[in-house]
Amino acid sequence: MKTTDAIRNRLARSPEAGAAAGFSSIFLIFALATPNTFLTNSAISSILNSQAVPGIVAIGITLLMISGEFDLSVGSILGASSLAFLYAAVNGIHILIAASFGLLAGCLLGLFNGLLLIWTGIPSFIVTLGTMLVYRAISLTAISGGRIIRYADYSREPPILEIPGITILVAVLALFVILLWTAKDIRKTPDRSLSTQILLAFALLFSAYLTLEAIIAIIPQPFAFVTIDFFSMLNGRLDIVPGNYRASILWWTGLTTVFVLILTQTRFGNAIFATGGNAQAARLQGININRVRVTNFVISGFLAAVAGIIQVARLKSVDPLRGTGMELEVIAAVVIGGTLLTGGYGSLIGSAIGTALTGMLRTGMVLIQVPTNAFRGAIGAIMIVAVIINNLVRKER
Amino acid sequence: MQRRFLLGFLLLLFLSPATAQERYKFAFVTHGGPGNPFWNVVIKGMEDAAKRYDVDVQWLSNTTFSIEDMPNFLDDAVANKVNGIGITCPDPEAIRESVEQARERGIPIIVLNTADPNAGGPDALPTEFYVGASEFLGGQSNAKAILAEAQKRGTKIQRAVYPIQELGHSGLEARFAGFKSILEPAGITVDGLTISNNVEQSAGLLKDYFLGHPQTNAIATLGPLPADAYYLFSEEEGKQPGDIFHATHDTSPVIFEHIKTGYTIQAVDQQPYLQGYLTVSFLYLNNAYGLTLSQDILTGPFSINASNVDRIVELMAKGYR
Amino acid sequence: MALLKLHNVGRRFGHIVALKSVDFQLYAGEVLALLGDNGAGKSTLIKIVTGVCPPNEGEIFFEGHPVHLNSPREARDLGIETVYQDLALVPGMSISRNFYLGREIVRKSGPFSLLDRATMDTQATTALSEIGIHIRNPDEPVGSLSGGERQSIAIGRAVHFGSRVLILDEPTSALSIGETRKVLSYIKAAKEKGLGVIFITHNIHHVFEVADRATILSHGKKIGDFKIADLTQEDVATMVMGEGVPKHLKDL
Repeated sequence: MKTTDAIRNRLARSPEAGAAAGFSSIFLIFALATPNTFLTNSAISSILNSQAVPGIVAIGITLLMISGEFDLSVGSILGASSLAFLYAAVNGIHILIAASFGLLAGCLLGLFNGLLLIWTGIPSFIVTLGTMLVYRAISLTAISGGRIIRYADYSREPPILEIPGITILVAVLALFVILLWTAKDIRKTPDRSLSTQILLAFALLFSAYLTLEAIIAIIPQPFAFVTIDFFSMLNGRLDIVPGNYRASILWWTGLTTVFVLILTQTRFGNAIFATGGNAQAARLQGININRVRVTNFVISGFLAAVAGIIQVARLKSVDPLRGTGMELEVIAAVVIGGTLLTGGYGSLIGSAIGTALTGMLRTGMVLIQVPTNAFRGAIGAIMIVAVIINNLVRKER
Repeated sequence: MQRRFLLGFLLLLFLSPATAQERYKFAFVTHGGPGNPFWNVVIKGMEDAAKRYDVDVQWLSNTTFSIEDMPNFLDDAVANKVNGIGITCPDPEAIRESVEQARERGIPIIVLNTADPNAGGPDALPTEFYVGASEFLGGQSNAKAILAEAQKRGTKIQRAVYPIQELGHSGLEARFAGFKSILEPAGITVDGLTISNNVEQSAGLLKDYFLGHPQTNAIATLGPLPADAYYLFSEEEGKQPGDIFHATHDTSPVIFEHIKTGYTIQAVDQQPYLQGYLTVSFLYLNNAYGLTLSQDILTGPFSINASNVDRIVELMAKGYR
Repeated sequence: MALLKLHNVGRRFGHIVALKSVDFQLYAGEVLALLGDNGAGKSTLIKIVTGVCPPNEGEIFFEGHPVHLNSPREARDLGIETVYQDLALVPGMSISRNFYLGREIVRKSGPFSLLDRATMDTQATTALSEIGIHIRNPDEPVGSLSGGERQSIAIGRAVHFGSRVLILDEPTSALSIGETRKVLSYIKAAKEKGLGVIFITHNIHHVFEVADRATILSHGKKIGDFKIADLTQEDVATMVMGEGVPKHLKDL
C-alpha cells in the first residue's frame, strides 16, 4: 500500500509525470512496432516540426486554463494575426514591422477577450466561443473574394533582414550573460525544482553555442552587415543537425522555457495558480484577479500570433481558414499533459509533452498503416483516458 | 489475461509491417479526404490499382479540406520510406520544401487532380507528370455548353455567378479563369461568390446572392456538394429548367438526376477513378522498370450530358464514376 | 482616538438593505465582540472594513484619517488582517505559498525577481510554530489537511501579518477544545500587543472570556455598544434575538 501511495503522491505532485509516462509508453509501442521507420530522424523531425506551432499556442492555453478560463478563439486569432502579418508584408511594409502588426493584432484580440470577460461576467467558454466566430469573420471578409495571399506572388526572393554584425554579437552576448547570472543565483537555493534547472541548463548550453558561433562569424568583420532570411530564421531547416529539424522547434522550446520560469518562479505565476484554485481567496489576499485574467488573455493572443507567423514562415501563404479547429486539438493536448479543466493545477512542460504526444500519434499511425480517419478518434480516446487517470490519482484530495 | 492480450496486440503490430516489407508502398498526400464524396472515387481507383499491382497504399489527408496539413503528411510519408507519392498542388509554395526533401531521397512523385500552376517553368516542383483534368478547359467547356443551351432555347445570358467552395485552391481558380475566358468576351459579367462545402449554409448564400442579382441566369458549380446547395436553393425557390442555366463540375447521382430532368445542362467529369488508378500504375512502373512519361495525362474534361448520362449512372452505382 | 471608525455607514444590495446608519468604533488594545443573529449585517460590516465591498453611504476613518477601502489589498496595506469564515486558502497550493499569498517573498536571480521558496518555507514554519501550530511539511498542499489544521493556518497567517487590526470571523468552528483555547489566547496576545481585535462568534462563553466590549447588530442596524462588564448572558441573548435592549441597559 505504501509504494502505491508514494507513487500516487508523486504523480499528484507533478502533472507532467503522468504525461511523461503516457508519452514513454506510446513511444515504446511505436518503436517496437516499426523500428526502421519510427526511430529515424525523419519520423522524429516530422513530429516535432508539425507540433511546434500548436505547441506555442498550448503555452497560452495552459496559462489560461490554470487560472480557470478557456480560450476557444485562439485558432481564429492565429488566422487573423497571420493574415495581418502577411498582408502587410506583401504590401511593401518591412518584414519586421509587418511581424509587429501581426503580434499587435494578436495582443489586441486577446485583450478584447479579457475585457469582454471582466466587463460582462459571462463565462470565458461562452465569450471566446463568440469571439472565435467574430475573429474568423475578420479573416473571411478582409480580403475581397476570399482569396489566399501568397508571398510568392509578391516576391520570389525571401524577406531579408540586414543587421550590422556587431549588434547581433552584443545581443547574443547579453543573452548569454543574463542566463549565466540567473543560473548562478538559482543554483544557490537548494530547493529549486529539477525541471527548471534542467531547462536553464539547456538554455545556457544553447546560448553558449550561439555566442561561440556569433563570435567566430562576426569578429573578423564586426561592422559588416549580416543578411538573415526572415522566414528561414523562424521556421527554416536547421542545417547543423542531420535530418529535417526546423527552427520552429527552437522557438517552441525557448518560449516554453521562458513561460515555465514565469509560471513557477514568479509572483505573477503564483497569482495565476491562486486565481484558478480559489479566485475568492486570491482576491481576499490582495491579488487583482481581473488583471491576472486579462493579462493571460493578452498572452494567449500574443502567442497565437507568434505561432501564426512562424507557420506562415513555412507555408509562405495565408488563407482565410488558417487555424480553424486548432483550439480543440490544443486543449486536448493540454488536458493530456495534466492540466485540470477546473483550474488551479497544471504544467507547461506537461502541455509540451501532450502536444508532442498527439503529433507522435499521428505520425506513428501513418507508419503502422492505420487509416488517418482514426487519428482524431485516437486523440479523443487518449484524452479521456488521461483525464480518468488524472482524476483517480487526485481522488483523495 | 490482460498480459496475454497486450502481448497479442504487440505481436500484431510487429507482424503487420514486417510482412509488408517486400512490397512497394505508396502514399497519397492530398488536400481532401473521405468527407467529400469526390475523393472516395479517387480512393477507389487507388485501392483497385493497389490490388492489381499488389502494392500497399495509404491515403493521407484531412478528412474534409486542409492545405496546412499537407507538409506534415509529406514528412510522415518520407519518414515511412515510401516508394512513391501522389500529391495534389493546390498551393505549391506550402509543400515545396517537403516535396524537394522527398525528391532528395529519390522518391518519385506524380501530381494528380490539381496541377502544379508553375509546371514547365523555373519554379515547377520536381515531379514526374500530371494526371488529371485540364481545369481551364473544363471551365471553358461549361461556359460553351451554357451558351449553346441558351441559344437553343432562344434566351440570352444576362449575368453569371461562379460560387467557389474551397478558397486558395488553384484548380478551382483555373476553372474560373476558363469560364470567364469564354463569357467575358461575349459581354457577360461573371460574379465570384464564396461558399463552403456545407450544403445548407451555401444554399442560403446562393439565395442571398440571387435576391441581390435577379437578372443572373447562369451558374456553374464546382463539385457535388456545391451542386447540392444549388439544387436545394432552386427547389425552394421553385425554379424551372430554363430559368437559370446550370452546368457543374464532377459527378453525383443527384447531378445525374438533374441532367435527366433538364435542370443541369452538363457535368464536366475529370474521371477521378483514373486519377487514383493511373497514379498507382505509373508509380509501380517507375519503381519496377524506371519508366515515366514526358507529358501529362488529361483525364478531363469529359462531358456528361443527356446523351450519355444513363450509362454513367450504372457505373456510378458501382463506384467508378 | 478610535483606531477604526465607521460613521453613518450604509450598504444596499439591490432592494435589500444590509446595513443602515451604522456607527462603529474599534480602539487599539481592545477585543470587540461583533454580535448579532444571522442576517443582522455582521458579514457586510466585515466586508466593508476589509475592502471587499465599499459602503453606499457613510465614511470610514482609520486613526482619524478618512480612507476609502476599495480593495482587500488596501485594507491589508493598512495592517488589517482577517480570518474569513471560508478561510481564503487555495486548496491545491502549499502551506507556505498560502501563507504568503499576495505578498510572496522574492529574491533576485540575475535581473529577475523570483520566488524565494526556501525562505518562505522556513519562515512560514517558524512563524506558525511560534504561535504553537506545528506543520509537518510546508510544501504540502493545504487541501490535504484536516479542517482544523486549515483553520489554524488561516488564523496563524492573520496573527502573523496583522499589525493594527485583527478580525476573526467564526474562527473556532472546526477546532478541538485544545485548539480553541489556543485561539482565545492568540486573541488576548494580540490585544496585549496593542492591536484592535474584532471577534465574531456565536459562542457566548467565548465572548465573556476574551471580549472587552460588544457591538450588537440586528436587521442591519446597530442596537447598541456595551462594555462586557455591564452585560449578562441573558442580556446578550435578548438583544441578539432582536427583542430589544433590556431596560436596565438603556440608562447607561
